[in-house]
Formats: sequence, C-alpha cells, structure tokens
Amino acid sequence: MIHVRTTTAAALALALVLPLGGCQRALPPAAAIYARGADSKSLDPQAVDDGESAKVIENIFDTLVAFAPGSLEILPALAERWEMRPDGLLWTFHLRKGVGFHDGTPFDADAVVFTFRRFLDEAGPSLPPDVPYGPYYRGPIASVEAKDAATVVFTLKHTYAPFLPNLCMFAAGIVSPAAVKAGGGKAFGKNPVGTGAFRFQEWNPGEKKITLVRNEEYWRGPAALARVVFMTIPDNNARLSAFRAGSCNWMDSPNFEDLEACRKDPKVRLWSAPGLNVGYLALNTLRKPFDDARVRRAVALAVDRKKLVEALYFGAGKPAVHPMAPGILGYDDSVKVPAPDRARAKALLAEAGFPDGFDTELYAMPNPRPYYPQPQKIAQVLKSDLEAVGIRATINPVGEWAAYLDAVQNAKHPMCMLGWTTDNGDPDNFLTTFFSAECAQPGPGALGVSFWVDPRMQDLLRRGEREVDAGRRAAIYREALALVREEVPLVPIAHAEQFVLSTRGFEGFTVQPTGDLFLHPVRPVATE
Amino acid sequence: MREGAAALGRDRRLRALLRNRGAVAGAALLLVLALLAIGADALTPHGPRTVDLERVLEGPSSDHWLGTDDLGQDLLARLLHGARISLLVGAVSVGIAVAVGVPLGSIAGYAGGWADTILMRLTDVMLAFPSIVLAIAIVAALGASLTNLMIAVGLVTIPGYARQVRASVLQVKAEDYVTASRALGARPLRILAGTVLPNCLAPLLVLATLDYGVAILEAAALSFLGLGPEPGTPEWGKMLADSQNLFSLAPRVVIAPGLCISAAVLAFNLLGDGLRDALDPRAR
Amino acid sequence: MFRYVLRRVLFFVPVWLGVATAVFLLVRLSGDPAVAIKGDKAPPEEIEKFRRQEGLDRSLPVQYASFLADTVRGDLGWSYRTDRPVARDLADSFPATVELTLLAMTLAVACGVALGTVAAVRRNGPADAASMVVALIGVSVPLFWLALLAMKGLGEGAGWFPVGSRLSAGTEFRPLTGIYTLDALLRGDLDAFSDAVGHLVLPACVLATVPAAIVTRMTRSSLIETLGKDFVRTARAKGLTERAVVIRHALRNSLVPIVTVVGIHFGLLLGGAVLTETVFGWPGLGKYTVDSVLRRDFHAVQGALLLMATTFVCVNLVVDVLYGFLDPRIREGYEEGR
Repeated sequence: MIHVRTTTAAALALALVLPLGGCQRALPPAAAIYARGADSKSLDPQAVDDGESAKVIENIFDTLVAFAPGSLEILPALAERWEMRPDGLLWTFHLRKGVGFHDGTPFDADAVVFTFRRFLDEAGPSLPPDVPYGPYYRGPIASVEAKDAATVVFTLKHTYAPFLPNLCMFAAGIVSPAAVKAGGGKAFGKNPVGTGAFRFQEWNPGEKKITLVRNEEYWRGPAALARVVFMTIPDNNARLSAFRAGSCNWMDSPNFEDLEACRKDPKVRLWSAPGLNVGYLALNTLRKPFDDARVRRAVALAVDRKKLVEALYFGAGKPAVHPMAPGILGYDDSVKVPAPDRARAKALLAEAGFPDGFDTELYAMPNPRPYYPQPQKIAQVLKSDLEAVGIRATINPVGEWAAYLDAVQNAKHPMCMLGWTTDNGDPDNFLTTFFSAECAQPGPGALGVSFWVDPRMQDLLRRGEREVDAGRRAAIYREALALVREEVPLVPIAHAEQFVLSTRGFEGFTVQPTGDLFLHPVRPVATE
Repeated sequence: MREGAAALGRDRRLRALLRNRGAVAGAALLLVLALLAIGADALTPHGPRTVDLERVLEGPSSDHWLGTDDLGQDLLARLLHGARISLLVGAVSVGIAVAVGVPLGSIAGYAGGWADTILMRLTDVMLAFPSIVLAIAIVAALGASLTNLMIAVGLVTIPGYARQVRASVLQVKAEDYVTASRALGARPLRILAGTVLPNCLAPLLVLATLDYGVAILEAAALSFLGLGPEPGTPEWGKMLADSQNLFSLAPRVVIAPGLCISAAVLAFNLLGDGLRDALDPRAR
Repeated sequence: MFRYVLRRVLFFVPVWLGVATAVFLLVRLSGDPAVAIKGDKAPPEEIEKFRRQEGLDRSLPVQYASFLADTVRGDLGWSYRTDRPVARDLADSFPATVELTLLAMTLAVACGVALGTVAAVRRNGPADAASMVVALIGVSVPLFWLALLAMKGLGEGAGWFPVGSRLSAGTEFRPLTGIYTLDALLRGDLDAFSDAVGHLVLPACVLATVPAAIVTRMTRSSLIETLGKDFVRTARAKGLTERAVVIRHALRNSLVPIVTVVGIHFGLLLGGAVLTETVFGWPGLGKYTVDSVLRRDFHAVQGALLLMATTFVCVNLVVDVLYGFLDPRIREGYEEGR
C-alpha cells in the first residue's frame, strides 16, 4: 500500500515538473510561426475578401504593382513600368522578364490576362466559387489583352483614379494558368500556385495550420526565412499565452490592454503602424429624430472623442475628425478634433423640438474590431456622453457579429457603431462605401449604414472617382469631408493602430498601413 | 392533540437550527448581504454607472473606497448594486422553479398514471443535460437579457422541485387518513394542501435555500459568457467578464466580484446545510 | 441481474428520444436558422435557396423525422462556423473533454477521499473543521472565476503552465485516440507527453475543485457512518491497526455512495467542463457547444447538445448498472418498486 502511494506521488510530481522543462523548448531557426485569430477561407486571391486569407495569399502571390513598405507609394512589382494614355482610358504594363511560377511555368502576359478574366468572366471552369472583389475590377475595366509576351493592355470604361491602387490589392495576385486549368477554378484555393516569396506546401484544416516554404527562385531574391507556418488561435489571450510560451514567434491582434506589458517585455518586439481605419457612430437618417440635421449635429457636439480614446485605446488610438484615415489623399489636416460643447448641443436639441432630450437605442457590436478594441465599453462611454445632453440611449448588444451586421444593414438601428478598414488606401474606398447611392440602401450588403444619400455628395464622389489629377482630386474630397461635417450623417470616433508582435530574433519587418502582411523582408538575427 | 405535538416538533427543530453554527453563520452573512444591497445608495456617493474617464483604474482612495474600473466607475457602488441584482435573480429563479415545480410534482404524485409517467419522463429529459448547458441554450433562444436569464435558470431548476414534491406526495398518499379523506369525498386540492404540502415543506425549504445559491452561480456564469444583461449593468458575473483582461493592470477588479459571488453562495450553502441538519437529518 | 440491466438499457431509449426531440425543438425555437447563417450579406433568394438546401421549408414533423434518421446514420450536418462536418468537429473535440474530465474526476476522487478520510478519522478536530471549510468553499466559489484566476495568475501571468491549447503550437503530433496524453505514451513520445500533461494540469485542477469538495463531504459522512458499524468494532477488537481498519475495511464499504456521487455529479462535471474549457480555450465539447450556440450554428448546436446529453445518460446507465452490481439490494428494490 505504502509503496503504491509513494510511487504514485512520485509519478505525479514528475508529471508536474517535466512540463516546466518542456515549455522552454527552442524552435527551429529560420522559421516564422505566425499565430492569428482565424483560419484562412481560401488561398485563391480572386476568391476571398477576408484578412486572414489575404495574409497568406500575399506571401504566395505577387501583384503587378505594390505599395512601398510602410507607405502608400506605388512601386513596380511584377510590372517593371507602366504608362497611362493621357485620356486615362488605356493602361499599358511592361512585365518583368525571367519570372516563373512555383510550378515551373513562366510568368507572362497570358497569365495576367488569365487572372483578370477571372474577374471579368461571368462563368467558366477557371472561376472560383465566389469573386467578392469582382465589382472593384469588373466595374471600371472594359477589357484586358496581351499585346505580346511581356506587355499587357487594360482598357477602362471611364477614367478611374483608384485603378492603380486596386492593382496592389491581394485580390489582384497573379495566378498560374496551368495550375488553375489542371485542378479547376474551385480547387485552386486549396492548392495555390503563384510567383511569390513562398510556395505553398501544406494546409491542415483540422489543425488550421498552413505551411509555406521558401521559393528559392524568387525574383526579388530568396527570403531569409526558410519556412513560414500560419496557425490559428482564436482567443486573444490564449494567443498571447502561446506566444509567451514560445509556441509561436509571431502574432497579431493583441489585446490593447496587453500592449503596455509587451512594450516593457525585453523578449518581445512590438511592430506597429497607424491603421488606415476609422470607427464611427452612424446615425440612421431614415429614422426620426435623426432625419433632422440639428439633432445629428447635437450628437457630434456631445461626444468627447479625446477622453474616450485616451481611456479606452491604451495609447494606440487617435480621435477621429473625418470618416477617412489620416494620410489618405484628400484628408484635411486643418480640421482639429472639436471639443465637446454640451450647451450648444442642448440648444440645438431644443431648437429641433426636444428640450428634454429623447429616448433612443445604440447598437454596439459584440466582438472587438480593428477600429474598436472594446466596443461594448466604448458604447457605455458614448451613452454617458449622450446622457449629458439629454439623449437617453439603451445599448443593444446584438448577440453576434453576423446578426449585428444583418440588423444594421437592414436599418434596424437608430444609432449604431461601425467602422471600416481600407482595402487599397484610396479615399474613394472610404467615402463611396459610406455615402454612395448603391451602398447606402437598406438591405443585405449595405455598407453605408446612415442611409444618407445627398445629391451633392453623389456628384463629388463621381467626380473624385474619375479625376486623375492628384491635386484636383484632393480638393474634391476635402469638399466632401466638409459636407460630412455640416450634415453629420455619422460621427467619426477614432482611428486605431495596428500591431504585430514578434520575438526579439527578427528584423526587417514593416507593418503595412493597409494591413497586408509581407514576410519576405524578414531576417532572423542572432540574440543572446 | 395533533397540533400540540406538531408545535412541539417545530420548537425542537427551531432550537436545533439555532444551535447549528453553520446555519447561524449563513443567516448572519445573508443578513449582512441583504443590508448592504438595500443600503447600496447610502454607502457610497457614486452611482454604479457613472462613467468618469478622468479617473480610470484608480486604486482605493478616500473618495473611491475600492477604487475604480477601466471606465472610471466606482467599484464599491457596482459591487453593492450587483448584490441587489444577484439576490433578485436568485429569488425570481427559485420562485419560478417552485411555482411551476411544486404543482407539477403534486399532480404527478397524486394523479399517478399517465400524468405521472409523462411528467417524470419530461424531468428525465431535462436532467439529461448539464443544467448550465440547458440554460445557455434557453437564453440563446430567448435572447440575452436579465429577465431571460432568470427565466432560463428558473426553468432548469424546476425538475428538482417536481421530483421532491412528487416523492413526498407518494409517501403521504399511502397513508390511511388520506385514503379515508378521499373516501369521504374531500376535494384533492384540500387533501394536498392540508396534509401533503406541510409534510414536504422542510425538504423544499432546504432545496430552495441551496438552489438560491446555485441560481446565483448559474446566472453569473451565463452573464460571464455574454448571455446576460445590458452592457454596463453591475452584475457580478458580467463584471468579471468585462475585467478579464485587466488582471495584470488591476487584479482587484477581477478578484472582488468573484469574492462577492463566493460570499453570497457560501451564505446560502451554510444556511441550507444547517437547515438540512436541523430539519431533516435523514436526508444526507 | 440480466433483467435489471435490460430494463435499464430499454429505459434509455425513450429518454434518448426525448432528448433528441428537446434538442430539435430548442434549436428551431431560436429563430430562423436560415437568417442566422446567411443573414449578413444575403439577398432573399439566397435565403430561400438555403432553406430549400437544408430542408427548412418542409413541415416540422417531416424535418423531425429526417433529423432522427440522419442522426442515427451519423450524419449530423455541416457546421457553418468551422466549415466542416459536425460529426468531425465532435470527433475532434469530444476526446479533449474526455481527457479533461477523466483527469479532473481522478484528481477529485483522490483528493476528496483523502481529505474526507482525514476529516472522518479526526472527527470534530481542527483537521476536520479545516477540511469541511475548504470543501464548503469549494462548492461556493464560481468555477469560471477560479479558472480565470488560475489562467491569468498562474498561466499567462507567471507563465508556470502553458495555457490556451492542448499542445504547444508547432508540435508535429499525429493523434490516435484523440486523448493526447494517452497517444503520446502509446507512441513513446515523452516530449509530447510532458507537453500535453503541462497543458492539461491547470484546467484539470480547476475543474476538479467542485467534485473534490463534494467527494470530501460525501466520504466524510459515509465513513463516519461506516465507522460506527458493528463490523468495524469487531475489526478493532481483533487488534488491527487503525489504518488497516479505516482503509481496508471501512473505506471499502463506503465506496458505494461515492460511486453514486460520481455518477450523479457527472452532469456537474460536464457543466463545469463547459465553463473551464471556455476560459482556458481548451478545444473540447464544452467550448464547442458554447461557441456554436453563440454563433447560432444550428447543426453544430444540435449535434453538440445531443452528444452531451447522450454521454450523460450513458454514464448514468453505467453507474446504475455498477451500483446494481455492487449492491444487490438496489437490484431487488428496483425490480419491485419502480
């Protein structure tokens, strides 16, 4: 009896001690193990619109042109140089020579045409099941042709200022025609073949793990990392724990509350950049009393953005004054964050017929978003600000994200919180999404949840989309922003920074303002 | 004569109860909690929902005795108002369980036959799920709110009462005087009310006391998972959910609500155990 | 004996049917699944197409019949959240919960019996009082709070234990049964074994607290009762050491109520697993159920609830049979009374 007991005790003790030694196991060098919040949906560039798919796709595929690291400047990539005809309707791209796909086939103009036909065609065996970014390309592009093996010509339906930035998006990644034809358009997402810095090795859907290996023949020169593994840890805290335990050496989307600890931790490297996003409070102009501009102005005057951001963004946010991120063309620097003016707000409300305020509802999303790290708490602060001027709002925390989007897209809210992160760094990407007539109709797919359609704005949007001169374009958008400040269909609240964490042993990384992830420049370095 | 004997029994049990240290401690703790809950507004000048972004995550001070949370709200005020909510939730949930479970169990036990079989199978099915899982499913179906929380917790607590009452009814039904009453044509309701229910009052009381604590735990768990009241409500479970990530910055915001829940449940457990020892020593 | 077992097994069928019906109704009660799944970006035609696909446009009894038929065949539908068949999700998550609950139960019984024995033997002394206080606190403390404190304090904070998954990420490990500790041992992979155990320790200890408290109290009262019995006095008179008396004779006879307690409170353990798994991010059935319910992934909710209830009913069945086996009086009483 006694022997059994001591042996069991010893075994238990051993079992407790062993793991402590096991945790600190060193990972193989030259591999990046990147933990993110959800698995990719597909690795086919034309088939998806979600960030988790984009992250991986960007390292397997290249685009014709690309944003410079850390900025919105457009540089050559698969295209060495390009020309635009003066009328803006014809674009000619001269392709880089000597580039090959991961399957050995050569990259040429036919590949580019093949890729863009996947946007333009309605049906065909090479198409993926769904093309969410279709409208971005199908809308302006009339046709795409190969003039010769190294030259591609795009003909546009009208001048389109965002054309080049759209070509930088991951959705425009050039695919290998041979691979798509061999496996079919629908299966390509599980077996991607591109020209990028890493080739696809394996996707384990059960473990939600994707493995990429270095492309030794990469045209920019082979990467320093031999292997990249993408793994999925949905819970932010669990992800940070795994990172601290050494289970992964890269991760993104940390909780803002943990940033301070990460900054102080010598083993952690915090990479950050301002995010090209905006979180705002949308006022449903289809509902009383928010159809009255005075009421909307009162709301804008009641909210104290500075204090909110200081308290709830842990130093990683900026109060917002425009529904567009700073640094984007047309952003008006001269406008400062207004201080709240509660007296004037009350006066406006009284003028509009609400001397005692009114009751209403505020819809707040249940889960963190890049622009709203703690939406429910932010909602509480907004509620408190509104109460100070007599607007009594109850917070409606619709149970889950898909249901939330459904509710606000169908105009069920008097006020709601929402936001946007740009896909291509273009001002049109923000303002069209919020204010164009197509996007501001209630119904599934609605993106402008103020449902405010003003002919002056429509005109400005159309002109801005087609104006190719940067200076004139900026002026158009400044006018649009002024209109928003006057009519207040929404109240911009904050812009949030983006963060990526890595262990100390890496250099050369830059956080892209658009949220793209490029691991090619990353170099493992020696640490003590 | 019978009444005299009953009164003597009651006295004896009351004295046994008062002698039980656990029961007395539990009752005292409960009294303190109730007083704190009632007097919440008097004990601190701050409201539980007053957001003050100038004083975020401050430590204890003379103005905020337990400091503030990450929205500058007074922690003490929130804990005290949370006591009100928890005590209310427990009462309503147990109330629903008793109001539905006792009649159902009585019918099952008294009527017997098909009614009994159906009701027993129903409770079997309900008991086949871990109660928290069933509660989660119910709240998810009804929508997250404090009311639905109370309904869900109440519903999952019903089987215990139905079974208890049924067992008591079955026990008493066999007694001679009940058979005699029925033969004399007395209405079933009178028989039930007069003889059966007083008999099972003791075990029901024990059950209700213990379940009150369980209800508080389950409601807190549901709020913690996000299935509870409106954001900003000072419900203890919700406070824990909101402050999860603040542990490294201000551990007291995570520790305090948990201690409160533990204290409340402990009080009910102590009292319930004491009641059981004093009133129904057979049932262990 | 056989008749007893047979009756218990037959009793299982109507209960299971009742459970399946309850699950079916509960899910349908939560609103239109089509809107819940497709709601965010779908035009009305999409929603209709979805309803036809899923057979949601058929009458309720027809849906019910096909639900039963599918379930019995093992087709539990498709999870929209994980984009995989529900049956596969359950096959992945169920062993994780089994591993966790088995270890938690073992720890609970080991601790509980030990503490309860000490309390019973040193009755009314300080050790007894201390054990009882600890046990009482164990049933009063909210489990998710303990889990949170353990996770933040010992796991993330101090970093003593890895948390958030079953194995450290980046491990190349091919499971066999799904119970990683077992699989690691079967493969002779000691690294993986210690890694798996490391991840298992904290959640299992937290989950074990409530059952441990219950077992402590149960053991104490049961043992006290047994120690008062005649045969114990006889054993003492025969000159056996106190330890032999307590362990070899008294405890063994007290095991029956302990077994029952384990069985009865298995539901509590499953419920506790739900909370523990959610806080620790342990990818088991409990977490899967919560995630599916919160996202209204109705096939997954159906499958998970069904599996959970079925497991519970099966465990009760086993405990009943075991109980009948251990104590013949129960068997006879059952056949007479029920």
